[in-house]
Amino acid sequence: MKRTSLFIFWSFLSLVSWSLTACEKEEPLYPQPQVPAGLQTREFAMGENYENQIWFHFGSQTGSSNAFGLWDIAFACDSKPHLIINGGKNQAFSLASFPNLEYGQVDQDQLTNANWAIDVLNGNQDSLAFGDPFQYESPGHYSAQSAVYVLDRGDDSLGTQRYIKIQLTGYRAGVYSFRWGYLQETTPRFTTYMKVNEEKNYVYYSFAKKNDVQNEPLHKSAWDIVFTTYKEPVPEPGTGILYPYVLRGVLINPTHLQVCEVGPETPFEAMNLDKAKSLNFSRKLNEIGYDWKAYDQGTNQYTIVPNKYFVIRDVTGNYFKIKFVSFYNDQGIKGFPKMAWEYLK
Amino acid sequence: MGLPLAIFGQPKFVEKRAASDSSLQLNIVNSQGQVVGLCQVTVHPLGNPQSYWFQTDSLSQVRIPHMLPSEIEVVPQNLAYLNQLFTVETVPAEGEITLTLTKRDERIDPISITGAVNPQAISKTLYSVEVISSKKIAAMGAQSVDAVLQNQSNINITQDAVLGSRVQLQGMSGADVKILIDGVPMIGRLNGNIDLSQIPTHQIDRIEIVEGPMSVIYGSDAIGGLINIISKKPDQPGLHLDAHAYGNSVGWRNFDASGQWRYKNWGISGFAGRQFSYGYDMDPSTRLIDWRPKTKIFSGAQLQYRADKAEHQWKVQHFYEKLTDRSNAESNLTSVGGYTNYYYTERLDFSHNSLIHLGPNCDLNWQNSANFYNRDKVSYWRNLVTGKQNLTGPEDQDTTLNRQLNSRAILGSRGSHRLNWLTGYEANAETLSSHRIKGLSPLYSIALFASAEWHIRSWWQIRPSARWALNNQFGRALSSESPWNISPFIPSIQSKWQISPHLTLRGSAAKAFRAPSLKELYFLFVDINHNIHGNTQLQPELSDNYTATIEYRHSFASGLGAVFKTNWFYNNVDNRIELALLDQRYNYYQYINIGKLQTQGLTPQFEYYGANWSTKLSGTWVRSQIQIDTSSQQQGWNSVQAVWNLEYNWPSPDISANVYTKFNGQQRGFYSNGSTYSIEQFSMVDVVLAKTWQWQAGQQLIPISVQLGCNNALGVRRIGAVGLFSTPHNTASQNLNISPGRSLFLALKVTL
Repeated sequence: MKRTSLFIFWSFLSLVSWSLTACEKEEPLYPQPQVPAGLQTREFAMGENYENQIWFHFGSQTGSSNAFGLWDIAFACDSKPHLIINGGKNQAFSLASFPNLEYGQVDQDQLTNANWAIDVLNGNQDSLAFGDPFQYESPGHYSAQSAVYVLDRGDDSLGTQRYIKIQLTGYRAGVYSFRWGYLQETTPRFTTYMKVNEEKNYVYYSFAKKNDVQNEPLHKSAWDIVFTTYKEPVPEPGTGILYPYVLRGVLINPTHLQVCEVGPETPFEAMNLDKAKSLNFSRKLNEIGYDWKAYDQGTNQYTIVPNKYFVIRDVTGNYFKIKFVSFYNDQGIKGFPKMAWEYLK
Repeated sequence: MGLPLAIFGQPKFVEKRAASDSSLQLNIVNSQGQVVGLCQVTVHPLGNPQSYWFQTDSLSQVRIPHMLPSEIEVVPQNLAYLNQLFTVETVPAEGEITLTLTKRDERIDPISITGAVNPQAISKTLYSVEVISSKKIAAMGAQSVDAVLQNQSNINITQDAVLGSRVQLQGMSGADVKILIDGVPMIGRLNGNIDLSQIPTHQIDRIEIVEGPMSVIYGSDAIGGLINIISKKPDQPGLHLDAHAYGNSVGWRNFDASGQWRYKNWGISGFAGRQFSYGYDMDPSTRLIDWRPKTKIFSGAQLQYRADKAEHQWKVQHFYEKLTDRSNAESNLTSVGGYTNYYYTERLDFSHNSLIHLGPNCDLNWQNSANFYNRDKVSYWRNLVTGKQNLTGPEDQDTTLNRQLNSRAILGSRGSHRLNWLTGYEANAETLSSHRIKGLSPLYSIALFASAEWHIRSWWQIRPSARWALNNQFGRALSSESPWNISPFIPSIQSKWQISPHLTLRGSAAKAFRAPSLKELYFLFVDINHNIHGNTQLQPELSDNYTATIEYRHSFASGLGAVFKTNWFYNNVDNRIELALLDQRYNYYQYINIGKLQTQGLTPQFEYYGANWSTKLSGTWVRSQIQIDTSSQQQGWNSVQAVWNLEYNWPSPDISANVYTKFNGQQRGFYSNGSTYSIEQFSMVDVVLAKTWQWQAGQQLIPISVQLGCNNALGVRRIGAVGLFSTPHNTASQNLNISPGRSLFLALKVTL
C-alpha cells in the first residue's frame, strides 16, 4: 500500500514537472528547393495593393509593367469595332444603356431601375457592357446605335462627375467618335475622336484626363499575357448567384495566344509536346483567369490551387506549360504572383 | 409538551427538561450530531402575525428570549442541508432543544442561485434548471467547460480551430445564449460566441443551465437560455490545498493548484494553473496543425467575509491564452514560406458580491464587476528555409478590446410566503474596438426589473415578471433631447403546479430580446471587394418563448432516487439581425432586421440513482425553421441528440467508473445568404476510471486521486459536411474536424 502511494505520489510529481516544462516545439527548417531542369520562374510584382499590371512575352521572356487604372473605356483596334470598360477600377464601375431615350432624357431618375452591366471577358462581343453597338455600312465605316450610355465611375468623391453620359456617333476610317458629358447635363459637353493604333489591341480613354491615355506598353505582338485587375461575375457557393467581383488574375492576348487548362489527370511533370498538341485550346481572354488561387477565409490567405496548370500555344506555334507557384513574395506580401514555365520541345 | 411538525424533510426533535425562564436555546445539528454552521432562524409565534429573526453562532446555537409556542423556520447557510420548519408548542424544562437537519440529496434536488437572491433547491424554482455539480465535472476528467457541456443533451458544442468552441442551446446559436460567471456576463464574443474552452473547470462549484429566456433578470442575449458558472467559495474551515496534474495522448499537459483558508468570518482562496497543448496534427505532411498549439495560464484570488447578517466577496481572475496558427507551406520553387499567426487572448475580471440580510424577510444581493478582454492577432511571414520571420502588413494585424462595467442588485423576500417578491436594477457599460469597428460609442444600458411570486394555493404558484430598460444605442428615443432610448418592455409569466410531493408541472410564457451587438452596430469593412457596414438603426431581436415541463423527483429510502423530466419549448424570434446584401452592384452588405427563426423541441430525460450507481438517459429533438427575409421561403429541419451516462462505484476498493455516450444526429444550419450547410451524424464515447489512495505522510493521510480515461473511444476525427465554409471566392471544405481522435488521459489530484 505504501509502495503504491509512493509510486502515485512520484508519478504526480513527474506529471507536474512534465506539465510545467512542456512548451512549443521549434519548427524545423525546410531544405532549399531545387528548381527542376528546364523550368523557369519569375515573380510578377503587381504590388501589395495591385497597383501595377505586368505584361509578359514567353517567346522573348521579356516584359513590361505600368500602372493599373489609368483608363475608363477602351476602343478596339482590330477589324470589328467595339468598346470595353475598366470594371476592375472598383466594385461599382459599370455601364447602363438606354437604347430608347434621347440624350437629354437620361437623368438621375432613369438610373433608379437601370440595368448595370460589366464586361464578361469571354471573347464574345455580346458579353461586353457596351454590347455590339456598331452596324456595318461599308468597308471601314460603321454607324453607331442611337443609344445613350451612362458609365458609373463608382467613386462618390467625384460628386456630380461620377456618372458619365456617353453617346457613340460612329466609326469612320479608323476613327471612333463619341459625345459625352455629365449626367445632369441635357446636351453633350464634349465630342471626342479616338484614332485606332494598329500596334495595339485597344486605344484607351480617361474621362478624368479628358484625353486618351497609354495602357499597353508593348506592341500587340510583343506580349502574351498580362497580370492585371479586372471584374467578373463569380458564382456564390451554395446559391450559385452571380456577383460581380473585382479580381486579380491573368488575361491573354487573344490574337497571339491560345490556352488550355489542364487538371490533375496529367501531372505537370508528365506534360510533354506530344500531349500538348492533342489539347483543345481557347482564345478566351480570361481562360487563365484568377482561380488558380483560392482565398482561405479561415487564414485570410491566398493559396495556390494544387494540380492546376495551363498549356499555351503562341502565335509562332511554340508550346509552353505554365503553373503558378505563389501569390506572395519572399517577405510574405501578397500581390507578387510567381509563375513557373517550361518550353515544350 | 409539543410535537414537532415537519413540513420539509423528517426532522428529529430532542426535548430536555424545562428551564426556569421562558428563553430557549436552539442547538442545530445534522444526523451525526455535528454542527451545521450558521443558520438563520425565524420564529413565527402561533396566532401572532409578527415574526422574529435570529442568527445562530458558528456552533449553530442561538438563544431565543421569551419563547412562545411557535413555528421555527431554520435556513442553514450550508446548502448541503434542507431548509426545515419545526413546531415548538412548549419550552422544555432545561430551556434547550436540539433540531436535526436533514441532508439534501444533491443528486435529486441540487441547489441553484440563478435568477434568485438566495440559493434554492431546483424543485422550488419556477423555471427549469439543469445543474452539473463539481463532482460530476470531476468525474468526467474535463479540463474546460466546453468538454463538460459536450456531454449534455440539448447543448451542441462545435469547435473552430481559431475562434474556439461555440455553443447552441434549444437550437439557438451562441449569440442568443448568455454565459455568466457567478452571475456576471462574460464578454469577448468572437462571431457572437464565447469560447468556453477558456474556462478551466477545477475552480467551478457547479454549472447551472437555464433553458428558455431569462431576459427579465439578465437582459439581452438570454433568448435561448443561459449558462451560469458558479465558482467555488472558501467555505471549509482551516487550510486546504489541492493540486491537479493532467496529461493526455493528444498533446495536453496541464497543472494547477489551489488553496483556501478560512478563519472565523474570513475566507481567502487562490489558484493558478497552466494548460498547454503541443497541438495535434492529423496530416503531418502539411505545415498546418489541425488542432492548434495552445498555452493557457490562469490565476485568481477570492476574499470572503461572512458575518451574521451579510456575506461579502471580492474576486479577481486573470486568464491568458496564446494560440499558434500556421498556414500550409508554400514553395515557390526558389524558397519555401508560410504564415505564422499568433492569437493572444487576455481576460481580467474583477467582481464584488454582497448578500445582505436586511431583515427577517428581506435580502439584498448586490454585485459589481469590471471585465477586460483583449485579443491580439500578430501575423508573421516565415521563410521556412532560413527560419527568418517578418511581420506582415498592418491589415493582417488586429487588436480587439472589449470592456464592461456591470452593476446589479436584487432585493427580494426570503422564505416561503404567500406572496414573495423580487426587484432590482442592472446597469451596464460596454465598449468595443477593433481594426474593423469604427465610429463606435460605448453602449450604456440601465434596467429595472421586478417579479412577484404568488402562492395561489399550496400547490400552485405563479410568477409574473417584467423588465424596463433604457439604452443609448437602439430603440425609440425617450425624448427629442434625451440621449436615452427605450429598450423593449420584457414581460414574462411562469407557473408551477405541485401535483404531488414529487411531481411538478411548470409552464411559462416569456418575451425576450437580444440587443444588437456593438459589432452589428459599428462594423465597417470596405475595400475593393468588401463593402460591409454595421447599422446604428438596428432594433433588437425579439422573441416569444413558451415552455412546459413535467418533472418527477423522488429520493427513495436507502439512497435510491429517480428524476424524470420532459421539457417542451417553442421559440419564435422576429427582427432577427442578418447581414444582408442590399445592393448587389456595390456588393453592399449591411446588418438589418429581416430574419425570422422558430425553434421547438422536446427534451425528455430520465435519471436513476442506486446505492452505488447511477444512470442518465436523455434525448433532444429540435425543429428549426428559418426565413432569411420576407421574399425568401421558409426552410426547416430536424435535429436529434441522445445522451447516456452510467456511473458505478465499488466502495471497498474505492474505484468508480463512468461512461458517457452522446449521439449527434445530422445537424443543419444556414448562412445569412440563405444557403444551408449540413453535418453528418456522429457519436462520442468517453470512459473514465477513478481511484483514490490515502498516502500516509507522517501523522497525516493525504488522499491521492487517480483518473485514467479514454476520450472519444470510437475515434471520430473528421465528419462529412456539405456546404460548410462556403463563401464567395473560396473553396468549400467537405470535412469538419470534430476531435483529435481517440485519446487516453491520466489525471492526478493531491489534496492537503
